[in-house]
Order: sequence, then structure tokens, then C-alpha cells
Amino acid sequence: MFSAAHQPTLLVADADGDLRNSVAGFMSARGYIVQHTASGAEAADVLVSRPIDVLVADLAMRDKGALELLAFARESAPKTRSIVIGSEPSGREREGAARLGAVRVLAKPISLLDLADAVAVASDCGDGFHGWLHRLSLVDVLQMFHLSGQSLTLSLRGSSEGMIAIRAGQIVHAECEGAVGEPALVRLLRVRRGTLDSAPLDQSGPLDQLVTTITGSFEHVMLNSIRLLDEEKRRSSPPGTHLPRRDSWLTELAEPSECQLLARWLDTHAVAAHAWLLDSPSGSVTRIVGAQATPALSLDATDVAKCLSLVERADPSFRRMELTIGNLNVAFLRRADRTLIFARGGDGEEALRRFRFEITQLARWWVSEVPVAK
Amino acid sequence: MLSSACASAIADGVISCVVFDANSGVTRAGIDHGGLDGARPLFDILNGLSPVQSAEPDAHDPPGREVLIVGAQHAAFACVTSSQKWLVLIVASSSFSVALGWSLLRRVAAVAEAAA
Repeated sequence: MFSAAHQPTLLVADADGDLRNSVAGFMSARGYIVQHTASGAEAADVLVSRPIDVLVADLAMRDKGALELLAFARESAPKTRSIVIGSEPSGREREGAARLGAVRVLAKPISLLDLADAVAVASDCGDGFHGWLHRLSLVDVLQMFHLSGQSLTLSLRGSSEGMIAIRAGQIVHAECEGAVGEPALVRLLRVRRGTLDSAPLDQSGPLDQLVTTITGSFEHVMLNSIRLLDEEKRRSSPPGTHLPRRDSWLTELAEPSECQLLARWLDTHAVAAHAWLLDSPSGSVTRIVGAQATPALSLDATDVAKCLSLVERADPSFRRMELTIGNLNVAFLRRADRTLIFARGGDGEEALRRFRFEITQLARWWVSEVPVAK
Repeated sequence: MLSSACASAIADGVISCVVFDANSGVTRAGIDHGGLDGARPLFDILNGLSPVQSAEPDAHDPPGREVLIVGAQHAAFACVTSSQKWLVLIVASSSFSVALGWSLLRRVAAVAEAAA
């Protein structure tokens, strides 16, 4: 599988002789140069004597356990990537291994195929970062690997499960619950949340042997998939309703909700303020921030309705209202069918100045930066 | 003096500036160049309940009350003076500086209080 010029080296440190021998045989057959030791001290000696690409270390070695060995390797063989194995590794051990840079933690009894996958990923992590990210959409990830011209596979688990293969930055294959090709990609793009794992593409065979079910450029494939998703949405929309136009498929798929955007902005720019979003057609009120803020403020739906009615009588086209009554400062910002209610308690001119500064900034940001909710 | 304060506000760029008697609603002084159609509901807002309630008691006695409404054409600033005798209303264009509007409102309110 690997060229002779670059045969990756694997060191297995485990007191279990049977496991060492079976791993050595299995991984040698997959093109790795395998060494194995029964103790942590011996493994440490090997690590300093020759370059090792991937270390597989058992947590339960008596003299030097996997975590101690990983810490040693981090100092003495920084290019070595690690995999930790153990019988029922605890959360603390998993966290410790992750902190020491372990690419994977596998629980015994281990499957040799799972180990081979993990070793392939570790071997592939020689350059670049590996770790755990969140708040990424599938489109973000595909876009990222496309732009960097990567070759790898992405396994996705969510409301649907499947995989996507990328070769030199182009999507070449997708499969999802029996479907393959673009229909599978569309199904996977429909999944809004879940987990993703990447693996090197060449672990399942040489690049030229990989089945190709998707052809065409990345942009063409993505736009076509989004068009199919659009058509699907239209078919499921009630007759007479039209989907609103949007600027791009990318923002559609990756866009956080209006409430999420508002919460992020308020958490950053108006700490300890209170805010609610009122949806006029449905009459629903959603608290965005301030549930724990002091002084505790509560919204009276009847008084809000009365106040809104008065404001509309004063100026039917109103888009902003600020009201100060004693130590309470309240603002209404209106856009389309939404009214954002922003409030801050606090006595004195300084609190008032702060409130007015925040509401000015918020009004400007909300109108110019946040897309109108559909 | 109050008329002069209102005229000064007009000179500073607002459209209308009027002081009303808080009890009777009668105009005490001011210049009306339009935009006062929503005066009544504005005063109802100032004298009504807050849409948001606080668990902490209000430190003000009597409470200060100010309101701003920005619409497509106009921005209306209004307040009840601290003696509760006067209502001051300033109407400016919607692009008028909010900070300057508040400042002019307070200046006229202070003159109204002094005149009383």
C-alpha cells in the first residue's frame, strides 16, 4: 500500500503478547514497519533511538503507562502521533490522552480494522492539526477540504448516516442509507446536526481504485444538490407560498438563526441586559438573553401590547422606541414582523447613557448585519 | 424665556418644539412646524405602565420619564419634567442626531422647570 521510500513505522507497546503479535502481523500486511515492546520503558528507548510515525500504547502497562509514555513521546519524539488503547478507559484517561495529543482512544477488545483506521488517521496527521471542533456545518467542512485540495473521506452521523469521499478537493463519491452519488449527497446535506469524522482516502485502496459516483466540479455538484434541496422544499411548501430569495446556498445552509445571532451579539456587547423577540403574526415572545441577569426583569404581555399599540398610533411607521421610566430603560426595535424588546435596569445617568449607547449599536447592527428571518 | 428656548431648539435643527401643561394638555409655549399628530399617544406612553417590570423598587420619586420614537419621517422626543407640571415634545427629522435630540429636550425641560 505504501511506497518503499515511505513506509510508515508503528510501535506497539502492550504487555499482552497475543495482542502485540496479532497487531504486528495485521499492520505489517498493510505496509507498516512494526515494532513492539512489552513495557513502557522499552518503548521509550525505541522512541529515542529511531523515528516512529505512530505509537500504539496500552494504558495498563505496569512500569510506564500509556499516558506517561505519551508525555515522554511529546518531549522526546514530537513527530510521533499516538493512539491509546485500554480496557474500559475512563473519562479522565480519555481526556488525559487527548490533552497529550492522542489521535484516538480505543477500548479493548479492539477490532484490528478499527485500529488500522486509527493508525491510518494518525499516520495522516503528520502535518496539520487534529482535534475537535463544533458549530461547523457540513458545507463549511466540504468547502474547507475543497479549497485545500484534500483527498479524504468524511463519515457523517446524524439523522441520516453516510460518507462522502473527496479526491483532490473534488467530491467523487457519496453514500447514504442505500443511496449513492448525488442523491446520497443531497440526503447528507439535509442533515443539520451530527458528528463528522475524517479519514485518509487511501486507507480503503489506491486513489484510482476508488469508486466514482459523482463527477463534475465541486461548485457544480454543490449547486446542483442545493437546487434539488430547493425543489424538495418547494414541493413540501403549502400551495401559494413561495420560498424567499436568498443570496447564496452557502449562507442558507450555514446560517445561524436570528435568535442565535442576537444572543451572541448581546452576550458580547450588552452584558447582563435583557432581550426578547416578539413575532407579531404568531404573537410568540422568545427570551433571548437576561434570564439570569440582575436586576431581574419580566415582560408583561398585556402591557407590551398596549405600549406597542400606543407607539403605532404615535407613529405607524415607527422602527425604534426608547422609553425610560425611573430606573427602567426599555426599547422596541421593529423590523418586518419582528419586534426586538431590549431592556436594562439601573439607576442614574450612567446606566441611561449605557442603555442608549447599546441600543444605538444594536439597532445599527440588527438592521445592517442580520438577515430578515424567513 | 421658554419661547426663546423653543426657538433655540428650532434653530438647532428640530422641526417643532412645544411645551404642554401636563394636567390640562394646553400648549404653554413653543413652535409647531408639523409632526405633532402623535403627541397624544406619546403622552399616554409617558404616563402609562412600563412594558417591562423590575423586581427591584424604583429609586426615583417621582420617576423621570422620557420617550423617543423614530419612524420613517420623524423622530419624536418627549419627557415629563421633574415637577410633573410640563410635558415637552420635540419633533425632528428621522435622520436627526439622537444624542442632540435628547440634549435639546433636556435643555427645554430645564428652562420650563425654571420658568414654573
